[in-house]
Amino acid sequence: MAVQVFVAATLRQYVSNYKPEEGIRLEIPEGTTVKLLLDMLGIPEQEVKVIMVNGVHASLDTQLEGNERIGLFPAVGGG
Amino acid sequence: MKAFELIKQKSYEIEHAGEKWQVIQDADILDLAEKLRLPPSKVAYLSTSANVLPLRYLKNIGTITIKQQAILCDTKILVAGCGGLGGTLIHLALRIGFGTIRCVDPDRFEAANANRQWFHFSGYEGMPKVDAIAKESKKINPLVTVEPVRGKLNLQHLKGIQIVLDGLDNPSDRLDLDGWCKERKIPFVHGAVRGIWGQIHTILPDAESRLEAIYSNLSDNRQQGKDSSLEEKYGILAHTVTLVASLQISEAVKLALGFPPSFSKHLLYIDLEQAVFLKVPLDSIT
Repeated sequence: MAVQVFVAATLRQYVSNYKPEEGIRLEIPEGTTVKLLLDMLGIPEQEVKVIMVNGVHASLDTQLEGNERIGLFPAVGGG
Repeated sequence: MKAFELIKQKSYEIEHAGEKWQVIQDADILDLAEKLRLPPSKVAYLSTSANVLPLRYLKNIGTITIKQQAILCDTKILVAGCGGLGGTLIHLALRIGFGTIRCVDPDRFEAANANRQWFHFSGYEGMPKVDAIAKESKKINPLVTVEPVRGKLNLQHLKGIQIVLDGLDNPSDRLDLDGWCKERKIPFVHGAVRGIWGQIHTILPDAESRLEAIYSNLSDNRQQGKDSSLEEKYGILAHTVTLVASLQISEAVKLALGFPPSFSKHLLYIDLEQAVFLKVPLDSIT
């Protein structure tokens, strides 16, 4: 099964050739948690502050069923 | 003669939106302030309290009442940092008519500030930011007392302050400020920006969860919180800054007027790429 992942701001440093309009399409086994997904993408989980799955707040333990659209957001710190 | 009588003498009646209002102009408030040896902000407060509205606030009324305007005119806020967020916060606070704005920043303007910092005007490179604010704020609203402080923010700057607004430029300084707000029991309206992303969270004095919940990745390494080089490659656009600062001022107005703030139980995360406003419950923040 595949999911589509969108990452924001500084999280993009962990993803090569990220295209904001496409995101990342990733094949994962059913039941994969967001935490495992982050491992697969090489994104440190402590850098991710907000996780959205199909527009709903999710957690690191949320299990993915396939075809989800996932948004990952870091805290920002500029002024 | 008493201040109220002098104010009434200078006031006149107008009709606005089907109602009659006693109003007074900036120039008359400034004259009275000089005569009475009071700060213009004090005279503006006395006037508004006596139902004589400074004409410049006429279009605030209807959304807020004249009594609420008087409360704003008597509210003292701190804007910590006078760059992108800070400059916008100060400008908006001046327009809406907070009584006193203490502005703290150690830096001078650089050419690269011009894309988003409202008090940077062409030719202001090298000028201390708080000097530019002291100069320009009189043109924006001379009825507000602006207290420019050039230097690094410290606990003493919170003295007498009722609401603290975050215009800082790094998480580490923000965590310090949050600690001081907790110590002094002052509400803290956090805002931060990067690129086309921004976040807002209001921390009340009795809040269980504080700013470290948002910057938990820095809890073991505060120095990392001062290093913004990773973020800086994304720049900051003017409209992101203005949007976040506007929402912070919205929170400050609610706090000043005794309404519950909108973002004390949530983090508002703004993603302008997807054009979404994510109101994230604090327990959903990882």
